[in-house]
Amino acid sequence: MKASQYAIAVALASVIATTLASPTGSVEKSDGKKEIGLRQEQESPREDKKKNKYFNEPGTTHQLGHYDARYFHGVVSDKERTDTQLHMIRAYLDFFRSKRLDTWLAHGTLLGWWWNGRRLPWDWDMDTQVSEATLQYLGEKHNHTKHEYTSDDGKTKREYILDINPWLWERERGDGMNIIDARWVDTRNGLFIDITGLSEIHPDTAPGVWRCKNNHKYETLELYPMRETVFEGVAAKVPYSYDKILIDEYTEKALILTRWEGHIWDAETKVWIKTQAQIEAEAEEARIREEIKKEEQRKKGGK
Amino acid sequence: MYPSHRPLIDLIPDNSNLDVSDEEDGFYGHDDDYLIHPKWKHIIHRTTNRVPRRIQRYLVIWLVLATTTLIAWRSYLGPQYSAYRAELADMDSTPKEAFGANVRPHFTDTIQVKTMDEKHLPDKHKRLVIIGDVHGCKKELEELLKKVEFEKGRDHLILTGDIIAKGPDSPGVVSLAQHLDASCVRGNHEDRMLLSLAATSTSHTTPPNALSHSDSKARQLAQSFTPSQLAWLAECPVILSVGAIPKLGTLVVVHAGLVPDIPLAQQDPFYAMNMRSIDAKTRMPSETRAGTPWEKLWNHRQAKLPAHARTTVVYGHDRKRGRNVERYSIGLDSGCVSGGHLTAVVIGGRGECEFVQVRCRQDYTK
Repeated sequence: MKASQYAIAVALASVIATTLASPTGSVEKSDGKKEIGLRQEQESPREDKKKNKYFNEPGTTHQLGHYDARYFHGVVSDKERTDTQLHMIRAYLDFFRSKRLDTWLAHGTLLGWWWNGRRLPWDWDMDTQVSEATLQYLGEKHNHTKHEYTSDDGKTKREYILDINPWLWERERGDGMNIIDARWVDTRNGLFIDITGLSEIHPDTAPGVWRCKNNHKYETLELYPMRETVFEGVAAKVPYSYDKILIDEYTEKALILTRWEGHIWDAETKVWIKTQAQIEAEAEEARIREEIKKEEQRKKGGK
Repeated sequence: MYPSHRPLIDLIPDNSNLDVSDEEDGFYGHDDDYLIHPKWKHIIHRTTNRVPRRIQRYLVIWLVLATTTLIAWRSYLGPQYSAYRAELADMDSTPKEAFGANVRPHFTDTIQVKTMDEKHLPDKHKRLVIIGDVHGCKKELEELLKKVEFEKGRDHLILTGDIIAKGPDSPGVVSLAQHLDASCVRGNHEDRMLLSLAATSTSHTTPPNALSHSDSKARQLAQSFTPSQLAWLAECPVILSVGAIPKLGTLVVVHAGLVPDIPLAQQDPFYAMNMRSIDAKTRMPSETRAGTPWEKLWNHRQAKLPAHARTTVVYGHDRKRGRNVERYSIGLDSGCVSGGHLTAVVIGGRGECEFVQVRCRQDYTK
């Protein structure tokens, strides 16, 4: 009796394991029901889906979610982050241009471009998109390549790594753990640019509809042909209907309201300026962080 | 206590009058079967008899009309009117936070504004001829030029964009425009075609699928032009500032439309080539017809400016509304390529406008 029960349990476990391990890219997910069913299966306590995650961050908080765990040495200051992001996106765009690869600005980075051709100062994320074809090409030719960068004035030297998620063949959201297809990481502090690929998931039933793994949808005619522009002082591309894409994602308010996240748009200089309240709040935050650090050191010293 | 000498029977009232027989007439009488007391009825009759019948009839008719009006107002006209009032209030207001506060997106290889050479401005002899969306209909363009007696060197031709695509002879139209030394603005079709062309030369992993639909159409179209024709098209600005013309103020040509109260250099290039309506409150333009027609807001805002600061816009793009002439806007797309008309506005030295059009041969889009 007992032996047969064990046999059944083992058989069941192996069936589930093989289901989880097999690619879900081919699974038809035309309706929401199947998708929900699939996710429930994956959320069973037997399997920790986190271990499927390729890119890892030191934490999930607002602070820690924006570093690559492999290169993380501690939260950087606001100033260092700004400086890192500026050179990082320049290096990224220059690399893609030099290799004649298509990439374009997306999400918050696109919104920042729309306002003044620069990053939004409160945005910890940098986002770009590529087509599936470009993504595969990157995976074949440039995965895990390191890129030396020297700024135009020669004062800043950096090194970046282009890391492609091996889950790139899976073009559906799947368990949601690998929705980021690639990363351009600053090896000094682990800050990165998220690169997501767009695929035409159903070329037969829904031609001309492109989707990233996080289920943002775009139509061919609103993406292509791309427009050549300038972002942070270097050549960049944005989708054809940039306004429509921004409104679909963020609503019209994002192109109208001039107060966001403790910043206010200065109509004269055309830059986002931190409000006094935000400056004070950040100073307070920094003070608390400093105190916690001291406290920890004192404890260590005491031991 | 009752006095003992009086029998109780004597206390019963005489009931003889309660004894009503149905054989008597009184039983069927209507004496007390009335809504209005006869006395009042009499008074009313006496008064209404003094009011002529005709007036009484009118009174009824008026009452019915008033009720109908009230119902119509409550259910339809009222909401319409308040929406109209709200739109008017929005158009009158100068919003604190409105579309257009950003730095205008900068695009490589796209010219935002050009100013027309002053020598082409109309005078006693010279005229400006502005023609709506030609879409490759070369024969119709030639006919129209003949009809307005266009004379090269004397008159100046301006095309409102969407010169190419859909119709039979796009390269022919461009070479004619080049030959006549015409001015033009960039329409959404020129924009898409030129961008597709540029994209093929900058990347090699543009996904093949992306080009399988109308993008490949745009690239095919691009291949039908000579390099000189392409260069001429690429030189067309998003906005052409023509100059000051009597009665019209500053004359500007753009393919789709403009957002009022924003300088030309600041206009969003995508919307200038694609807009059809605008949100009267936020001034957010749209490709769709969801909001207020942009030219309605434009005219409303121009009328508020001092006379010397007003701008008249000549545009195309909106085939559905067709030829659409208002005080400060002139819409010229009358759908030539789908078998409609090709329309020109001929502007003379005193700012007088004459509209001339030719019927187009067939629906080329079929």
